[in-house]
Amino acid sequence: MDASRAWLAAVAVVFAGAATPLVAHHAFAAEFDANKPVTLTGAVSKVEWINPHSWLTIEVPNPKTGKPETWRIEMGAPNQLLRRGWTRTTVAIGTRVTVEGYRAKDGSNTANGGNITLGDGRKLFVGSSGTGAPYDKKQ
Amino acid sequence: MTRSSKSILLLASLCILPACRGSEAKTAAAPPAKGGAPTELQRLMKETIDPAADVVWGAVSTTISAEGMVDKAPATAAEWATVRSNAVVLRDSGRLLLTDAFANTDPAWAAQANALVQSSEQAIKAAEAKDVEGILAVGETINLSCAQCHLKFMAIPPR
Repeated sequence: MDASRAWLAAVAVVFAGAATPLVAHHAFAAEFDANKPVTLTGAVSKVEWINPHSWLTIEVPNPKTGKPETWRIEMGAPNQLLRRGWTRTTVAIGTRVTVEGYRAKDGSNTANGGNITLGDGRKLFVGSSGTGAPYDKKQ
Repeated sequence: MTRSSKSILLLASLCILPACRGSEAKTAAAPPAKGGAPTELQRLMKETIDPAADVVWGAVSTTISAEGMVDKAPATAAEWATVRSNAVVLRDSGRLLLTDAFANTDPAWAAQANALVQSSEQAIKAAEAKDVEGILAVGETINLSCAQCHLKFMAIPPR
């Protein structure tokens, strides 16, 4: 075993018991489809401020059944959102929002958020800059 | 595995790192690697960098729901030490990416690896200072180095 492999093996052993990742870090195209834009309107049920991506959970009525479906919206890092004017209380639970973003490649109710329009008309950009998302080119 | 035995292994692993640098010097005349061995690189990412990054990222958060607002941050010296040790692993993994075992001839590779090293050093300092906002802030720069490197060098499977 050469030195670099030994180092790798030793560190891997140390962290073999580390916690399961909460969320993945990735370039946009690894998880989301730039050819599948989506617009979702629903009520906010959870906001998670955490690195590497903050998450917004909304309850979106199914257009056919009317039953609410839970969607998770990936957003930028907490400090990205803070620089754009977000605070932890910007979006209260139950607030109706419209999210423009891109669907996950795996077909789940997950999207990468771009713009979010709040009930009072305010529009906030929530995307993850520098990950190769379509809105990166517009910034 | 006990905490002390983990610490011993971690220290042992870090002591080996200079030997990596030594092998780098010995093989300097060899042709530069072009992205390193993919399997080893994926293993480094999956088994070392990703878990360590998740500990640093997950150390500080705020969750807002119908149940209220819940702030999470390291509360004890041991919890801060865990954040710090994982930041050390990130920094040293970044250094490893610069060795011949993984280095790429594209200068962007070294730039992003160095960015990982530097942001991880900021995370180490923040953990040593028990700086909650510092950990939150540096999480963004760690992720940026990851995402931009993946954007350039990681093959995205076709849909």
